[in-house]
Amino acid sequence: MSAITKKIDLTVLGYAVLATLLFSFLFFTQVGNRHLYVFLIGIGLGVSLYHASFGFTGGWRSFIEHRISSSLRAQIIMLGLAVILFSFFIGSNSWIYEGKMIGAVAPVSVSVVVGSFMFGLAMQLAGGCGSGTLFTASSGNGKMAITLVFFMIGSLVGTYHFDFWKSLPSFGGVSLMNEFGKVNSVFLQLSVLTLLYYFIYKSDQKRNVNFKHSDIFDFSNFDLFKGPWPLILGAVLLVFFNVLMLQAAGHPWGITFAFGLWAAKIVQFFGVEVSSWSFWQLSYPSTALENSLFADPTTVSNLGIIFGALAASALAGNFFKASLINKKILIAAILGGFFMGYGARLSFGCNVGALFSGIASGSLHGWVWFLFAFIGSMIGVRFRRVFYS
Amino acid sequence: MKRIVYLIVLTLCLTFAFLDHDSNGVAYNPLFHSHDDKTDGASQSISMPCGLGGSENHKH
Repeated sequence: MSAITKKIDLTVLGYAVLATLLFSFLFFTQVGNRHLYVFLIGIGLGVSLYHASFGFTGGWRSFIEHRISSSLRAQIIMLGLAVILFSFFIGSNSWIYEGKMIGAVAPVSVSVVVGSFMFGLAMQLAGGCGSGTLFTASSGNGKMAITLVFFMIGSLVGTYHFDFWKSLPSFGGVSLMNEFGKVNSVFLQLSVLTLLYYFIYKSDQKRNVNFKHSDIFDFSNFDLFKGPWPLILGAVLLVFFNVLMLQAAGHPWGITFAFGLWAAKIVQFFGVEVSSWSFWQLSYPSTALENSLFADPTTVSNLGIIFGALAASALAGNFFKASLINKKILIAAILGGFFMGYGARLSFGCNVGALFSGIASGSLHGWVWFLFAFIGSMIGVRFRRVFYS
Repeated sequence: MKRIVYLIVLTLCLTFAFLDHDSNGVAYNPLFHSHDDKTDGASQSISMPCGLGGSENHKH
């Protein structure tokens, strides 16, 4: 236990609970029960992300700079679990609705290479990825709230340039499940993940004498309501909620499409004819733009994450802890947010929609995203020193 | 005080979403239309929230 017991922030907790009740009622009565399930799953994701401090950015940076691998190993385990579980469900009928569930399979293209590289670099500048930006901004981190605003702007600009990026070479969507069959696809992906785990822990062990495999299983400071939760619990819960998302929404968890949609709705409100842009004439984006925001499942799950993280930070007594924002850090937040948003649109998602859900679905683009985002992060941690020194 | 301001800003953002919901309504429910669909879940393909918004668009 920590020496100082932090008090629960009842005002913020009350706000989160009331908002959850209000939105639950609204989704159930005006949109549909599956949207309510997606919203509740989002709350579970928000609480898990916050209490396990599960983010990709810091974990990748720790490994790149110091070869500390705990977070990266938890991510590899998370991916392995997801690959196994998703293989049972993709293409099968949902438990919740009558229809088949589809995976997050997107094209392998030049735009994915450029976009994921850009995203990986930018997330190191911003200090948070797609999920990280959302849950930290929701828990009162002012810098990440600025990042989120520019994430939305970057995402919108990405949709404006959609024609150019679409014109670049692409192999189309490559589903490993379709190419090799489900069993072979799982075996292949687990083999790569095992090799990655081996390389990562060996690198850590070589550099850090105190290396322990068990560090991600450390429940010694575990507190269900206040946190922190061990990384392994975060990893398992994120897989669990992503499987539930697949069952309820019919597709895996994604985050960043909604950011572009929110920005598009705002500029449309001020008279910009977003609907004339080719991206917003595609089937789902055009539907989402014309429809209520509350009909978009990504928006609904993001709202759940916002309220989940809000409640978790209130329970932990950590809502709105003042963070140091100087001019340099502000520039890093703006640049990082903008280029994460732009990169996410080019690469069909972020660390969640493209990497986590993509790899879980057996999409080759998820692996390409992982590789180039990591290379981008390796350069990003160097740029980061300019802003955070 | 700052945390109250933060909650007010969040409330304003949610108000915008409410106004949008009020003006547009749910003309098309990407999750629920699958019930009316007899093409074996094909309508699910357009509810996929990746960048291009669905596998139909991935064929370009």
